Amino acid sequence: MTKVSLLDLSKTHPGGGLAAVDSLSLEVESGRILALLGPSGCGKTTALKMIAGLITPSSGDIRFDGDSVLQEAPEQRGAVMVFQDPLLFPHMSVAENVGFGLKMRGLAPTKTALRVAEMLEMVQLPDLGRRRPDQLSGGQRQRVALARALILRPKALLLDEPLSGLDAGLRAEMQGMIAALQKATGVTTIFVTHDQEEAVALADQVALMFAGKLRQIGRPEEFFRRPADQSVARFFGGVNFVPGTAEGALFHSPLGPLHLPEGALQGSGVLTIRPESIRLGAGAENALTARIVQIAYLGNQTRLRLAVGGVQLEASLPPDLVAGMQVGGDINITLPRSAIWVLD
Amino acid sequence: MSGAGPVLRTLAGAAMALALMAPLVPLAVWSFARGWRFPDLLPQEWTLQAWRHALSGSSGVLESLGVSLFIAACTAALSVAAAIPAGRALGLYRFRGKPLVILLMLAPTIVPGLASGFGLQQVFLAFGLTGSLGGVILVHLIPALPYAVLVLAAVFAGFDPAFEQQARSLGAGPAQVFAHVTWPAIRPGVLVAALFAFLVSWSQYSLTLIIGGGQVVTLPLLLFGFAASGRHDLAGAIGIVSVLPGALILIFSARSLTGRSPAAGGLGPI
Repeated sequence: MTKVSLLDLSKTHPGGGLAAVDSLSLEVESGRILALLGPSGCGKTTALKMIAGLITPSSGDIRFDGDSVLQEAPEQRGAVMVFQDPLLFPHMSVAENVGFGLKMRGLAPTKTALRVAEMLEMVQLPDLGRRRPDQLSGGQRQRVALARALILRPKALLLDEPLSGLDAGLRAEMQGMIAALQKATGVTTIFVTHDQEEAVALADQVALMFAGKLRQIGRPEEFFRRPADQSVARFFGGVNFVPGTAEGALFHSPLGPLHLPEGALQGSGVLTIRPESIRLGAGAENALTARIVQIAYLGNQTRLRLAVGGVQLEASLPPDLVAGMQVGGDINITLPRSAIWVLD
Repeated sequence: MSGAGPVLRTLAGAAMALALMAPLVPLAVWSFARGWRFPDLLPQEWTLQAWRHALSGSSGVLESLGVSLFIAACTAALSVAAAIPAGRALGLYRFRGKPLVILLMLAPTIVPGLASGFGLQQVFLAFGLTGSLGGVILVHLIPALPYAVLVLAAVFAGFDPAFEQQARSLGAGPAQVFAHVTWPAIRPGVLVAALFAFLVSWSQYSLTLIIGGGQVVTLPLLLFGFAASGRHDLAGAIGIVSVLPGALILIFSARSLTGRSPAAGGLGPI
């Protein structure tokens, strides 16, 4: 159980230009899962490789339980990385792959064999030890890669886009397996992903990075309800942004005065509400009449584009509630006070 | 189509074997002949005399064979030792001036040894390297290295260095990574590179003569000497002997050279 701290961690490339990672500071509590989330090229994999020791930081520090590990080579660091491509050694059997780290440590072959069998059981591949990597399916390979890392009981498990190579069905299954293994082993885990759904589904904490910089860190729901700015909100699927002015408990905008939750930003700002937070029907406060501009059926939900006071809003509603609505018709909607947030 | 394929393949194989073997037939005949004059199709008389002489100590054939083997083996080992890092750099990394480096690397295969040999001799003389085994090995590296480097560059181009990072992360030190991850991946290519370097050194004549100064007598030098002096029977026997190592290496390493080995990938199954 190890607490991982990054302090002002930066990586600039010798050619100059923008920093790949710019003053990244964050903490992962012992035994927790943190998702490093961001669009591709935002520096999240570079950050992960620095923690693994595979890239040397330009400045800043990495600490495990308060002790700097910068001087420790990757093989001594105890932070094991699992790459996007499972990278199973092709000339070794599955069991040899899983036992690789223990063999490098000089553990006796008989002991290694026992641990390997135990580990293969944990990832639900008990009978595949003698197979070659090229005889496995994509999901099986990823599980072997996970077993090969976890058998070392690492201080930190570092996963680089572990699910992005898998198809949708397998991805959900692997998500469940990673969560279960993490819980069972209690290993502090940092995983990199560009998929906000994956981050939200797996992580205790999400750290969102844009262009090398940490933009927001917090529990997954905070990114939906309390995004730090418009770009964060947009990354998490936010589409409703209404400029106006907040005065006390009211927000003045073309939508008319709306009641704000406590602690909302004051002065001029942008009001945001998630499409799925907009309620159908007139509530006690923040009720509006909207004209339907467009209806898009998306299977498990229906998207309505609405016009209110010259502003367009998008609402996401269960298809049953939308049945019978027509483009051009008027409906009553409510923007629940607790679902509103004001951005800079 | 199903019947024609194997037949055609067998025929092609036979034709290739014939093309490779045919030039050796007169050599073999010469080595057992006593007097073989135009227009006779075959010698008048057969004898083991040339072979007896060739394999006796006094002819110098066995000694030259040893010298040639030693030089070629050293050349192959040193070529590979230098070509692994060089091939890695050329195969895996992009850097400024890479085309120039490749051109310089290939230069010895373009410039004939005779052209550069006499210039090299001056340099080797200055360093006291002429007339020694070491000097000859060094000069053999010049034509041998490009082949070894090119083979290994191709091997490394198909190698994913992320495997090494993965191994490091799993607790393997740099030496362990090489032994357990890199080496198994490049081994077939290293074998091909070593084979090329060995054969380039093995058949080297002019550079051996210029730098060895007649004191390092390899098999080609001996062969040329006998051929020039009209001893076709001895030249034939030495010729046969000099074909053996390459053929033997090929036969014993064929398994590593064919199939999915990355080094032989461009050549197809041999």
